[in-house]
Amino acid sequence: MYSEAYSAVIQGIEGRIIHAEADVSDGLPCFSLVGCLSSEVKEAKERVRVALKNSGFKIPPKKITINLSPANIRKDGTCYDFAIAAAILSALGIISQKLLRKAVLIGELSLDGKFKSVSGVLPMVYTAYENNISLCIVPKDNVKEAMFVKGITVIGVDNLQDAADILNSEELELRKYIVSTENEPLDYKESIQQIPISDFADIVGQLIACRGAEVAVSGMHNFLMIGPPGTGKTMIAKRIAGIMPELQIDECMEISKIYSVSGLLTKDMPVVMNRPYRAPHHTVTQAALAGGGRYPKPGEISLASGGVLFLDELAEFSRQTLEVLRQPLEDGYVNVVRLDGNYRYPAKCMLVAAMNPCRCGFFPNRRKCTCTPIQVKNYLDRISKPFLDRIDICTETVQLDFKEVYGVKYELEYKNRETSEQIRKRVLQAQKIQKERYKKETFKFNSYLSPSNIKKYCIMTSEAKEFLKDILEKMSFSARAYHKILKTSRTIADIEQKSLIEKEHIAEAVCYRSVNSKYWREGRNSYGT
Amino acid sequence: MGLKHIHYAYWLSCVHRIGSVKRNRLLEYFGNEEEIFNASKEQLSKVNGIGSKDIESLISGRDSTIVEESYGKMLSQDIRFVHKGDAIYPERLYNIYDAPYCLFYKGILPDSSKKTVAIVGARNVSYSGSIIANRMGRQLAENGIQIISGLARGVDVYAQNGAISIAGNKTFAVLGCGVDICYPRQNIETYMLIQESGGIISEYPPGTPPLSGNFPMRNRIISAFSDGVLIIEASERSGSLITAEYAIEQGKDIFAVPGEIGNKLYYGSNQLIKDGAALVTDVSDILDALGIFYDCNIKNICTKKITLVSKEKIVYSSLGLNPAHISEISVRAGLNITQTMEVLISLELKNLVCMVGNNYYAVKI
Repeated sequence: MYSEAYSAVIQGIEGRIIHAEADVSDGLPCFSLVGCLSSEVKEAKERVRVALKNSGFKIPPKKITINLSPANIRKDGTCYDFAIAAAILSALGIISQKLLRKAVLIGELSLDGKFKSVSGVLPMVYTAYENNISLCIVPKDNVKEAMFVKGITVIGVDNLQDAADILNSEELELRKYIVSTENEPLDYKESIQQIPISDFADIVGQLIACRGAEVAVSGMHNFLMIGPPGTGKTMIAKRIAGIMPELQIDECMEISKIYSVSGLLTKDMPVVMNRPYRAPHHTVTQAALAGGGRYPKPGEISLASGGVLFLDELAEFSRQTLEVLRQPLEDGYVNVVRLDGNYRYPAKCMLVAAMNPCRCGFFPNRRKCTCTPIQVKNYLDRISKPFLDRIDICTETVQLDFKEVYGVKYELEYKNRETSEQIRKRVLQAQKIQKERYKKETFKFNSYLSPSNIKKYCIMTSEAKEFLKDILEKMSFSARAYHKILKTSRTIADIEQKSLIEKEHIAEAVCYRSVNSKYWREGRNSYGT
Repeated sequence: MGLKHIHYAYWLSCVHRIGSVKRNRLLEYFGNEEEIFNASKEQLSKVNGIGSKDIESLISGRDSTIVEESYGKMLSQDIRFVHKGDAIYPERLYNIYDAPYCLFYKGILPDSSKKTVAIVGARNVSYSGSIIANRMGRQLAENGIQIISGLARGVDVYAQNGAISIAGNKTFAVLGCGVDICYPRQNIETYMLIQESGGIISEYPPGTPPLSGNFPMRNRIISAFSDGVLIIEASERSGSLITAEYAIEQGKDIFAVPGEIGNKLYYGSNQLIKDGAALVTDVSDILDALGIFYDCNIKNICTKKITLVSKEKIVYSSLGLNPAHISEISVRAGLNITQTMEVLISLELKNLVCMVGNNYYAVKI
């Protein structure tokens, strides 16, 4: 007898519905599994057979053939066990076909017939929803994650026996299983407050870097901090996600999908509720950073989507690793091409980088810095110009006096320091203005302005125009630097809630430019005299 | 045999393994270069201190056509050659102990009748040191003084850039390698400009690589050419102190720019002042010592008349030669960060301040 059940396969971060077809017929007893399978799927044969036996089902000595179709898509992972088992049971007439045709079955079987959790449940359930399938049965541990998709019935099961019972029941009876699988749907707002986020008020001094971070977040500009060791660069980076606006439900979904595919969602964190903060070590490989591998997986830049990708010790990263970030930073996605398909992972994150100004870390303080000008140049040269061109805001952190860290001055200043909440309010305001301004465009933030859009949206007062003209003439900026300044000053004007860009906004943006000029100066000397 | 005396001298100065000591012994024994050129193996071996390898090296290059050709080739590269006894051999060099046997040079040699000042100092120079070096070089040049230095990184090259910026002034660089080699490479621009506005000088034949042992020796030539040596930013074990030592030995004036007590970049300079070097805070100090008449206005560092608004004045006055971070400046000036940024940019536009590192500013003079 022939039967089929549905499951789903992951391609990139999108799912696709597949059919598990089973046929039980007379012939030499055998159990064969076909349909472009990777080795873990091939092994499903043994798992399913034993699990069926241990769940009390008797498999007759017949020729059993399973096909996972479409047969030209490669199947990875262990989530098809359930569908294969259900298809066999249905072909044997043990469970009815009625519900089977309306459900997507996801889950890995252990030999005793229990279900184990799998990765990628969220995008698979979402795909089921998109394909108008009304029911999803998943392992119990994946229920919370799957329930994040609204508009589809999700049932969690513990073992194969229960699953057979559910599939044999009437559609109207299903409700009781939903209730029994515990738990009201996740409260989206509540879970945000649960996780403590470190606050900007902890940071001593570094006013420019803090302000730079605020501007960067407001316009989602990429952000670079240069400074001696131990001046709070990492502290600032860790707090940046905390001044970003809360995740919207659709962003949540997209980010959770990525995490689901990567197997990073757990029972305790079924969906991603906070802005991600990813800080890969500088030994990270190209594939781990941008995504890839033999069976492609999202890289750190995708995992940081909607949040912060923090590259500490930027100069220590290998050059090739940094260069692979160039295209994703520009386009907001990574395309990983393999023989059997094209995988596209989102990569819309804010890049925050930190580095020392030289090997010893103290340039331009010559009393402490022991590097020669060449060493300074060589150190900075490790970051390529095209990469730097993608960073709009660059600030320098400064070494603090002891009395600034402890003592009277610290106590005094502590009271006046801004909390992340206060900064976030301004950021929200600035982002709201941008959203309003760009409602007809495909982008939402100033950092995505193209040169033609800059002309359209970055309108200056006549005083500012004169000022910028002056600067361009005297400081010999490239066209790209000019665009960067305009984009940044647009964001600063948004924070100040001004519709026109004014002189002071330009001046501040020019102070953030930096990188392309002095440090990275070519020619005969490092001070430019 | 069309070899002239200069060819023999050229040959002797280029022979591998023969440095100044062995050369002097050979000259002492044989009397002149031609005799050495024609000497037999046995004769050469009689000279004290000349080993078999030296003899081999002397004999292997004794082909008159090759010598003539290579001399011609050198001339075609615009490299001139002068040796002791020549009419154009600089007079000042005769006055020192261990005067170089010969000089190779591109451009011209310093004019012995003109006042010359050597400017030397740290290679890893601070921003303030670089500014001082540049200014001293420029202002001395404005007063018609020839500048001589070593074309090293740091103070040397900043001083020479300053001197080059004054048209008509002569600047000279004494190298520790062949004159056809620009070392360090990044000074190529200055190296080219010096050839036009002065000369590149070396006692080593063209093609000699920059060996570390050569550099202390070239310092004696730098000081020999000069009337006074100005030392900017010398740390405790600075190579500039070697130049100062030669200068003392040769009876030249020593000038030193003082530094703050405890600043290790100035340890050597301050030590020199303690030992009796002339303290220099302004170019007029040097001009006085050399007996040169100058325009009294020179003392005003900033002769440019630029009107500043009050905020700019406040910020400018809170800046110094030591680079300060914007946050520091804003505290000193009592303005908030954004205001400080705006004022700094406008000062930068007026060319009064310079962004030294990211967000670090210092005054420009």
